[in-house]
Amino acid sequence: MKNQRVYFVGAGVNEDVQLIDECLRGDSGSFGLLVRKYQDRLFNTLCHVVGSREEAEDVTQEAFVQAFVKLASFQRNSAFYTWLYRIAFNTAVSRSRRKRPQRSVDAARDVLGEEPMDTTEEVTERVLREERATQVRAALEVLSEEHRAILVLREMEGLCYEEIADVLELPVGTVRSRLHRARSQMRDQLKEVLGEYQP
Amino acid sequence: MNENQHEFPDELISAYLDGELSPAEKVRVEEQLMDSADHRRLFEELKALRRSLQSLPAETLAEDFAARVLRRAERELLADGTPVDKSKAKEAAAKPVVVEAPPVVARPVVAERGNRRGLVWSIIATAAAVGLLTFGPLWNRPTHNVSRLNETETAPTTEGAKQQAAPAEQISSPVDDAKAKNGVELGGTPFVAPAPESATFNDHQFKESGNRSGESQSFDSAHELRMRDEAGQKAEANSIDGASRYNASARFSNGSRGPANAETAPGAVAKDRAEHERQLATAEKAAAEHDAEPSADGSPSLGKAGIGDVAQAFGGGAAGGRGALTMQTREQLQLAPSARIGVVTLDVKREALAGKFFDQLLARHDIRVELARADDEVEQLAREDRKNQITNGALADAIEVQADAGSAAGEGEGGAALRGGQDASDDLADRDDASELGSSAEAKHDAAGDEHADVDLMFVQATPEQIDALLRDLEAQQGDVVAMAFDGVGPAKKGGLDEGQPQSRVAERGRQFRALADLKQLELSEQATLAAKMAEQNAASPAVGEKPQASAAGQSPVDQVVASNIAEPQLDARASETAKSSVARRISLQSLAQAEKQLRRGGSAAATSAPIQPEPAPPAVLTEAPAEVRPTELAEEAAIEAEDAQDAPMPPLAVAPAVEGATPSAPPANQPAAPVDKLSKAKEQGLVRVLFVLRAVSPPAVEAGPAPADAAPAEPQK
Repeated sequence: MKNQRVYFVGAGVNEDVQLIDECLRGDSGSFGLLVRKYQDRLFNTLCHVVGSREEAEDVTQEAFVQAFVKLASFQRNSAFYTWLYRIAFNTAVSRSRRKRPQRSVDAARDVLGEEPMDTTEEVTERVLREERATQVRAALEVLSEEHRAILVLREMEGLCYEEIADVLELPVGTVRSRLHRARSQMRDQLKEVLGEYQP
Repeated sequence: MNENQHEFPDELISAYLDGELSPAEKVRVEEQLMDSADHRRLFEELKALRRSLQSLPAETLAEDFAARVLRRAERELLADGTPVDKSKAKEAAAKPVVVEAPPVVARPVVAERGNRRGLVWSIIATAAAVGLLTFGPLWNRPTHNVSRLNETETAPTTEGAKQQAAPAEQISSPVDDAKAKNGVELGGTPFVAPAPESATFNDHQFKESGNRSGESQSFDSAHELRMRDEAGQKAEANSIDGASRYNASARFSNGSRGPANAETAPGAVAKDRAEHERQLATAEKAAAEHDAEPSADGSPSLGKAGIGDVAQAFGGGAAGGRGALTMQTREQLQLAPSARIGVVTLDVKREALAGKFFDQLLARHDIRVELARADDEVEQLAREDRKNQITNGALADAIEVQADAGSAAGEGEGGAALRGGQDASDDLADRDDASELGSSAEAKHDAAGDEHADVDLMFVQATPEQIDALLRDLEAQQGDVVAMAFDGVGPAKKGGLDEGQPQSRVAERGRQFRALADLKQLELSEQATLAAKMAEQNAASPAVGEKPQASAAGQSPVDQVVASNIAEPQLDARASETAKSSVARRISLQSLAQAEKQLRRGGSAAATSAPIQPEPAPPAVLTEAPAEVRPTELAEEAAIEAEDAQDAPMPPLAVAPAVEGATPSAPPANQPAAPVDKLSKAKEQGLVRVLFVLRAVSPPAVEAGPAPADAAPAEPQK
């Protein structure tokens, strides 16, 4: 299973700044390094936000392209990846407005199931894990876009409230309240399976 | 829950989990968690929720994602700059007096987007180089001695091969045929020079340049001639009639060609030495500093003469082209400081390359390699240097990018300059899906087989002084560099060479520019008309393979088409000839392609009923049909060539039998279909051909571009 890729290899903001400077001096390979540095991280996040691997890849590519094209306008008031995420989320939102493959709550419930999953002993642990992952993804899809994005940025990306506010261009207080609502909805959706994740 | 619990906001639990509470809030939450089992449960559930989300498998992207992003980003960057450039192109078209630089290149090297503009440049430069290498000989074949000599000596190439090839071989798809016409199957080496169907505008363009200058020497043909200079004969200059014509030469973008090219061509010398002596004299007059030396070492390559014939200037205005490396180089580069590119072709010993010959040489001159590509080492390079790999990815769509840009540029010189590459791209894409190729060299490799395993493509940028010094060092590196040739490329610079020139010369350029624009428009917008007219002419044509009959007005069909479509009064006779040649070639190639397509689809019935069927009734036997179609084309082209020949005496063509033709419909049998490829010879001798794409870097002052005002995602003010 392709999993747990190390996103940062000795990377830091200073390195980003250096790469950006090199890119602005004409070395597009430096931007390539930036892409490599953040591509999986961004892609993974977007996969959960947009709910489709293909769409996530498109958005990721679009975000990097926009970042490349607009790199000279990057004011460096925030970290590069924050800026990149903002581009990516804006891209995702605008794309989703064009085509809205919204999944209904009922459809999600079909995946989640109304009853506890039948975990018989013959089911392997791997299958169980995949099943749980499917349920979590389905629960994520039930959330609204803003709640889903905020939850992913916090729980999966580990961004602090301020960074989330930066990316989503929201007040920090809004981030906190939305995050709580998102969690509450997720908790309701996953009530039956959260016990599996408790120690 | 007690009353206190109801007052306690759960949001604090969530924030507590995230460590985002103030100390006071934190104390409050901790107390609440101590007191309330519900909140403790909530807290645990939130932690479990976090674990559940974090346990989701991570998704990753393919390894080539970064390269794809860069490719697309560069396209976007080009497209992003297009609106401004389009307007510039329109301005250029509206001001015919001055031949502007291509719109894209007219901007500062480092503009508002920072130095990434340089990357765009590198793509354009590479594309232009590829276009040169692919179409160079094609553009010039009909009008120049060297090209003709080349064809003559390069045994049955192109035209000859068309007739000489066995009938079965002639049943190829239009694409294959175009491939054969482009000589791409020969490793993409453009040493054979038939006209590509899609290169009409550049054909115009370069023929225009060549006709007006009296010389639009094919770089590759010239190089081949150098390679052929085994006997060390006295250098022959295939040049123009005089300095005046040279001065009047239009150097449209990558169409610049040297005014005085000293070439040695044994076959030509044997046939027409007196004529070449005369040309040599005029060439020396036209380029005073040209120091053509006879090849003395008898090597199959350039020899001394070739190396002495290295670089002149990066083009632009009166500069550019090949010739001796002199101080003129620097002066010309300084006159035309922006966006000059040049291609140095070297045949280098393999050992020298292995010993980092170029790296050392470039390092010595502090020249930066922006792109480097060796097809046979690309995988190794990719592994060794991730950055290079990515950058190569950026190069991957060079053809595609410049094709896009060429299309976008539309009118004007920029579009014209890029058009050739677009044609090349189309051509390659038809066969090998060039858009997926890793580089232009790779594209050629795929299109051509294994030949390009021994072709390296490097892109460097340097100041004129650096280039000057580099070329001098290369010149001195005779041990490792067996042969060397240089082609300067570059548009005329507004405010540069044109300024202060006699008005007549400026006006001449304006006329040329308008003529080219008109011709391009003709090609783009009236293809259908041309085809229809050609169909009519074909219907009236009495016999397959004959030159089209003159009309009642005494004009050939080609003349009529040209006359009816190019009625610009400012087109002088040469422009008309250029147009005529191109139109004829285009029509004939279209006809051929359509005929073959129809034949492949279903035989004579479909072919006969086709509206643009060039021949009255193609035979049902497939193997005979192309043989009947091609001679018409040959006859048409031969007619054009014969007209061209009136201006510049030249040795007999390889296609002479067809021209004088007797019966073109009866191709000679048992003639080798494949031309001799000089690259193969060099390869056999353990040489590696290096295409060294140089770009002159403008002085630093040029790089101070304005800050961009683009709408980018706004950063929040903190």
